[in-house]
Amino acid sequence: MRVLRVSSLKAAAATASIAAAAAALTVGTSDRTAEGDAAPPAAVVQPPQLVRPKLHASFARSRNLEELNGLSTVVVVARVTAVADGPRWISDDPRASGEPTALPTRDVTLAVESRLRGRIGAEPVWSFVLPPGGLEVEGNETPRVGERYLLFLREHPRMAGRWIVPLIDGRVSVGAGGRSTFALANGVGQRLAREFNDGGVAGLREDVR
Amino acid sequence: MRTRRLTPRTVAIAIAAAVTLLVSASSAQAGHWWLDSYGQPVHLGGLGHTPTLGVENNATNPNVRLAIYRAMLAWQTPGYLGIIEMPTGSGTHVRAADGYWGSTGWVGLASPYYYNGANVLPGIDGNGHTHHFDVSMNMTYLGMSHLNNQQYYDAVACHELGHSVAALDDQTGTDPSCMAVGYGQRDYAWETDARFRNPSPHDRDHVAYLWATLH
Repeated sequence: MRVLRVSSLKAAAATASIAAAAAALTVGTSDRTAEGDAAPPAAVVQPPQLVRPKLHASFARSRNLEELNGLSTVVVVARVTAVADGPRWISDDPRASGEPTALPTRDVTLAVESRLRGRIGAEPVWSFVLPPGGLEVEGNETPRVGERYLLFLREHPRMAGRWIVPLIDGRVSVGAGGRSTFALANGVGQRLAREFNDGGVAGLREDVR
Repeated sequence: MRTRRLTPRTVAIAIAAAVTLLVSASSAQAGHWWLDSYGQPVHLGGLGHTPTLGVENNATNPNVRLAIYRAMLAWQTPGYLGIIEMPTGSGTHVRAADGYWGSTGWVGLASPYYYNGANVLPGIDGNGHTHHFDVSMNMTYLGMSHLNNQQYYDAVACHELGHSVAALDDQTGTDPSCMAVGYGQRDYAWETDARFRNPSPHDRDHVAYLWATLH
């Protein structure tokens, strides 16, 4: 049970402190080797350690498949072939007046394996938005090359040639290697993944009209 | 890590909170910590015990402002945690705002920030400490017809303030609480059940434990 880990917090902190001390000692030793007469380890000032935790957010969810269909214009099964830094973020929401915070983006290039609904090129770019500072959100991490998804997409209204996933439930991991924890925890995602696993693309066609 | 002087009161609070927490754990409720990669709760650091946290309520939408205000009241835990509203720009512990961030996936987000000298960086230090949190309420989703209501605003604000002031999380949906909202188990329970728009008794145990023992 996770809560029991709390009782070992002090031990974890001690472990981290020991690791930091070991790292400091390593740096000091290395310096001595390189320079011959560097200061002893006790004089080494370590910069504060920066940890970039995964963020825990709340996610807007679709109530049912019809809602997900209504928010998307294209549905595909696709594999991620490349991930690169994207352009300056522009909100896809036309109500945005200015941009409240500069968010990093990633251009996720897809190879479309099956097109279930709508028109889209063979290698579309999914514009994936990260939180401020570029930290990852647990359950909605940046896609990785090789992962395979069933995606409900809509064209970005203000960034020509790029596509967005309107709700997290529109990103369903299928096959090996994909990740979308919370989408699969949702009834809609579970159903879609199960139908894909049972009948492949044919099993989904009735659902995504 | 800071060293604190143990007083009889501190020890008593810690023991009481730990006992309460263990009793809760033994009742098969889920653990609720937002842990970093070292297994430490992600929380505001350097505040000591029984702190009073400041919240800037910078939301422009009046319903979101109300939701944040309600969440501040809901998370106050007498004897362990006080929460007060601070003026915009005061640079306090939690800075809440709304915006049309678009299709980001998240409707609410709590982002920790950390000071390294004069630089403010997204993240925490090696002890799980953050200097402040930004709470972001995404109006792109909050404006959707099925989500555009005060109950949902309240649930999301409660959830994000829970991350910020109490290092909490619940991805299992097993504890009826605002901390269970949006993780795919009981996503719409907030519509009919007020428990999903507020902290649970189990959450309060965590608040007590966190602020009585960690700092």
